[in-house]
Amino acid sequence: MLKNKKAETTLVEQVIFYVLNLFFIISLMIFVYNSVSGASITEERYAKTIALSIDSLKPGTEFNISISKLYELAEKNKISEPVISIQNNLVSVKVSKSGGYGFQFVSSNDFIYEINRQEKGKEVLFIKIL
Amino acid sequence: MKVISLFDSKNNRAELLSIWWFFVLVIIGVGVVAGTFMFAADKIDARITQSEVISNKILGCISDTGVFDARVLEEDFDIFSYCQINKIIFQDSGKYVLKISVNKKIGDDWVSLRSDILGGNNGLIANCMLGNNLVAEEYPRCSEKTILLLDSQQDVIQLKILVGSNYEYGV
Repeated sequence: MLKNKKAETTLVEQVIFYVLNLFFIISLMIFVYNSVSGASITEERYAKTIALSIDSLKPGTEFNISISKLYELAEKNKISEPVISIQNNLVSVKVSKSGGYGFQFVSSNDFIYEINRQEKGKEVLFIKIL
Repeated sequence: MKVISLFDSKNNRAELLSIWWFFVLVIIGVGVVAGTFMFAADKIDARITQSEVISNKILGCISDTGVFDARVLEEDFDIFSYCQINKIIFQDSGKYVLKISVNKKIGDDWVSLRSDILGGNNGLIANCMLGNNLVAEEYPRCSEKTILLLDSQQDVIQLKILVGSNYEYGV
């Protein structure tokens, strides 16, 4: 009887132990994922990608960059839509109320850009180097 | 299956939910959180990529068809307007540097065809290669290319292009 009681306690203890361990590991993974895919890193990554793309492409080139991730983050951060502005050789991306990141490009080629958001989840930034 | 515990209690029973286990969790948690914050706070260093991009842009501009563009040899040649590079940003920010040497092979020697084309903050040139080889955050990251081209007389022209960027952080 005593032995059974001891064994039962150990089993309950083991279950709690494993559940808590699992909970701890999952919490850490969620924390790491949220941190590395957060607004500030995403803003920086998109601003640099767009700026370096403008610098590297020759006149006449058109390109599209998927920006659905920016819309997803903007929605999560409760702003109506992400702000992407390209003017005075500066690409600015903002997907949170307090954030925002700008990166300069050195090309003086003229270009046009527009955001195509015909379908939710498939938003695209179109840029044409003139 | 026997579960190994950190230590046995007075009852000689495996004790999984011990204070030591919580201690280990705290240590791991603090380590992961600190590491993540350090990673997230670190900026994406795009300087070497930017140097490569500008260098390729210049290269494509003055040797677009694989033939050396003789206009580079004109003394009043302006690389910025010719290659569509914003001179104000490149010169005034102090974050960029550009150096182009044009040489021609005569006999066994390379002879310079014109004075070096310089632009931006020339003070960065000395730190260029140091920045590429050392872990020195303040130093620029540079791209250096040497290519051979043919001119209109089918002579071999050597172009050395050095572009450096120290524009690490955005705004």
